[in-house]
Amino acid sequence: MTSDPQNHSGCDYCGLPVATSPSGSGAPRFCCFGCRIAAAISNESGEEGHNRWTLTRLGLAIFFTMNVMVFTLALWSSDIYESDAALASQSASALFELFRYLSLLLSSIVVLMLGGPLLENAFENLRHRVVATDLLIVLGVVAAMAYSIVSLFTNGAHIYFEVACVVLVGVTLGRWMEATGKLKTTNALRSLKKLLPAEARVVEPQAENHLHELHETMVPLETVKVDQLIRVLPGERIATDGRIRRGQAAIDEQIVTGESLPAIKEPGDEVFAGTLNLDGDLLVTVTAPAHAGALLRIVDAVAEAATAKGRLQLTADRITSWFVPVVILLALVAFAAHWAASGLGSGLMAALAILLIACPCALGIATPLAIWAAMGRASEVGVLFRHGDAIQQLAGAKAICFDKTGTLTTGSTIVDRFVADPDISRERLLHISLALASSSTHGLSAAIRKYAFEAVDHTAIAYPEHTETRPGRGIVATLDRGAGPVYLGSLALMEENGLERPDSIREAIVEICQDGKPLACIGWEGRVRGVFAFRECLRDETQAALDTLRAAGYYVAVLTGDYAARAAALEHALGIDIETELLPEEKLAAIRQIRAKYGAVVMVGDGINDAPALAEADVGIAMGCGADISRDAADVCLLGNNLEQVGWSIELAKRTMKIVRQNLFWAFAYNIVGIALAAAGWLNPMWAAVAMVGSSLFVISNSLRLSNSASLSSSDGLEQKPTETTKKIEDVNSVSFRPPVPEHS
Amino acid sequence: MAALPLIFIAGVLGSSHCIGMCGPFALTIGASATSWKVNLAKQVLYTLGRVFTYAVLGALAGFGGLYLQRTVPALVNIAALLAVIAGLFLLYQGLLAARVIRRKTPNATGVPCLAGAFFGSFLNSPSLVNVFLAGIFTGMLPCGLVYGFVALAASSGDMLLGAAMMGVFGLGTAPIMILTGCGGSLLSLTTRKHLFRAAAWCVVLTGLVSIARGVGFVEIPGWTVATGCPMCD
Repeated sequence: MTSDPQNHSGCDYCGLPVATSPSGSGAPRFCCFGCRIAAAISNESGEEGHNRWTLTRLGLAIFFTMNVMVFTLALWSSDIYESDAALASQSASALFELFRYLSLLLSSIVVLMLGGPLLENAFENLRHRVVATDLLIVLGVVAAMAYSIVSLFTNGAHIYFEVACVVLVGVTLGRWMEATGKLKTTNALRSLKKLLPAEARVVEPQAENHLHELHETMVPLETVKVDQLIRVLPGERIATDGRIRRGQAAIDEQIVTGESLPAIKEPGDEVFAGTLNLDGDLLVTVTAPAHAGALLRIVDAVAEAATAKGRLQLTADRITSWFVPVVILLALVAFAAHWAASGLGSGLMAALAILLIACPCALGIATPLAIWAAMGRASEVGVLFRHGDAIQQLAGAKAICFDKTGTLTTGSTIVDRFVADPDISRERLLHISLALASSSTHGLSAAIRKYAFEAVDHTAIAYPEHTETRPGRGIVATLDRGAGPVYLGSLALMEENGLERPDSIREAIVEICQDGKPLACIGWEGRVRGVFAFRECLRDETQAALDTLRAAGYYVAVLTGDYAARAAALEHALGIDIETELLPEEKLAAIRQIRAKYGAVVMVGDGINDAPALAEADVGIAMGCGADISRDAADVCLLGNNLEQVGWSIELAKRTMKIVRQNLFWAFAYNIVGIALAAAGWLNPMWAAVAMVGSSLFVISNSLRLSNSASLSSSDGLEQKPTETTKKIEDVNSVSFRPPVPEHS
Repeated sequence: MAALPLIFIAGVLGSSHCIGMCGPFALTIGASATSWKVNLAKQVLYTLGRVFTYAVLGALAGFGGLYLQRTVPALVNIAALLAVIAGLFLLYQGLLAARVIRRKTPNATGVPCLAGAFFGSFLNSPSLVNVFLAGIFTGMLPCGLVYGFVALAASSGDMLLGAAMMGVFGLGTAPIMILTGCGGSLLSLTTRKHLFRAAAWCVVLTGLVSIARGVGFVEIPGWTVATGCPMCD
């Protein structure tokens, strides 16, 4: 299929970078002859009843070529049979004469059928000032035909009809197969794009209050406008970015945010294009036109990254730009030399063989194709490389530094420890704490709620009559009319209100402070009754991800602005170096030091407060940037928050560079050996044509191996099966914490 | 030439082997046909395409055999050697099909076949020219049975004879392939299973005969193709 016109400068068939500058004429642009043919064929097959002339032409050319081959072999066998009296008879020689004329007839048809498009492409290249060997190949073929015709009518010794046929078929078929292969490397992106529904259910505004009698019309997605209302039924993907007007639903946002647990969305919440509505009937106000939706922004970002010419691509272009003229020069020299030595025919064959065996294509695509395949594969698991160079740099990384909060940890805190005054029931204390914490959105309140919710029976909770939030201190609330105030908050809040600390609580507070952990106290009637100690919540996969990286031989460190005492526990738990109390500029210095000691540094952060560090590192990896991939300038964006993607990306980058090296080695070795053989006149152009196809196919197949790279072990990518999603809805229902009372401040 | 009827029979019986691989293609060809007459015409054209390719392969192999015979005649009896190779190949294919031996599981590298898109485009095209062309490309698909007979054709050392042998083999595969294409599954699954097994042993037999023939040649050097062939006597 041809891809939609996009704003990046890729080939209109395979999406890969085009060597030419944009023509601006709006005409389709193709990166090679193969893509031109492939696009023609797929356009024809799209039209019902069309006679598919391009394809049939190619097929018939192959059929005629087979005939010519057999005639030629029969003629050759007459040379072998020369001494055979039976075959030297008159009838046999008449038959062979017929074969020669049939060869002329059929090969002329082949040249007319396949030479035209090749010539057309050659002129197109000339128009764009691209130096390519196509024109010379066509000229060589025509010359071989002309030579053979003269030879045929003057009873010359050699005819080369079969060479003309096989060369044209080989070049056309080979280039077409190359195009098919290239298309496959961009499959990943196209399949992401296909997730968007083709149509959206637009609802008339006046009908929105009568959900049962909505007036809906299905309209093509691209005609949906901002501020229109669309309805999204359970099981459907949301067509474009919007805000929920009515209804609520669990939404699988994995494709955009990488979050494997579905998000519960209510009126007023933002929803993203491409995410899956699992269970609700939603009315959504469109906030972005379809082409600017979250999913397409991701697809465009990858496409843009891949078509941007990185250092690798520029090197490849440079090589190709001097390679082609050199080959042409060599062909001309070989032509002259062999002509002088052993006749025009040999000169022609040697020159043609050089033009065919020289494969600028293999050189040119050796690097970008592997990079593209890797980017496509990465986008499938939620890893976006912002440019091809990031892959090269990542492959050479020696040290990996992590930000702490929001990167190694989830960013939320949990209750690590709860100490209650022995004079009061622990359960009652938790009930009261829960009642107070429920009225606050503060992170520590959330941790207390979660802890108490799981520890006590929360069905019989008395909710406060009155609550008051003291900024930076905590909450003061009245539980029963006439009763005294209850305090939940910092030590300062307790001291200001004259609450005393019993010995057990005092000891606990000293210990907690020594550990550097944040704490909160609860108390009433002049006495602190209990104390909560908090710690940051590590991501589930943090330990495993760091262990994997260290086992692979990387230096792993954590750079954080947090207090030393607080980080000590983490340092102990994870067993890695943690540099603490770093100001942003000190983080940069730390990265430079690590680079000086170990080599290229990768910095992994959440991309918000550590942007300078991400920029300073050789490769910056930002996490959780799915909802807004343009948010930061990291080299690599992880849509989700899965730390295992870091190791996976590095592994992919290393494999990619290995394949790039293999491709380049192959392309160089093949060209050097092939051109040498051809220049010596030892290579029939027919074999050269076949070898050229083989060479390109090797590079393509080798690169396509990247498209099949293994998934993440925890499959927290975009490839999740629906059944797992459904299972996770059940999970989220069982664990999600919803405050029992509406929150107010 | 007495060998040709035997090759035809091997083709007929071996063609139940074809149903496994090429049967679906025949069905695809027939899928767009509006009537059974059109379908039959398509199936015949498709088969002709295949036979054409086989004949070309046979001619190429015959030429290759001839070339080898003329260039290295003193060293070994090329025809005999090729016959033995062909026989061993057919024996291997037959035993594989009969499930007497098992192939090692191919390592799935996951590298997609780039020729598939090309071939598929012809299969799905409704025009008669493309049906014929689809037949031509089907003939080029990798197939152990075909390779065996190609080697046999090479052992003939004659382009015309090679083409005839492969052509006859192709015609032998025609009846069942056309039936498959026209009638879908006229034969029941169990019948096909039995047929498949019988065909496998028939291929084994062809292989053995070819080996015997080749070995016979090797033992009595100096014999020419025209005389003393155990298959022709």
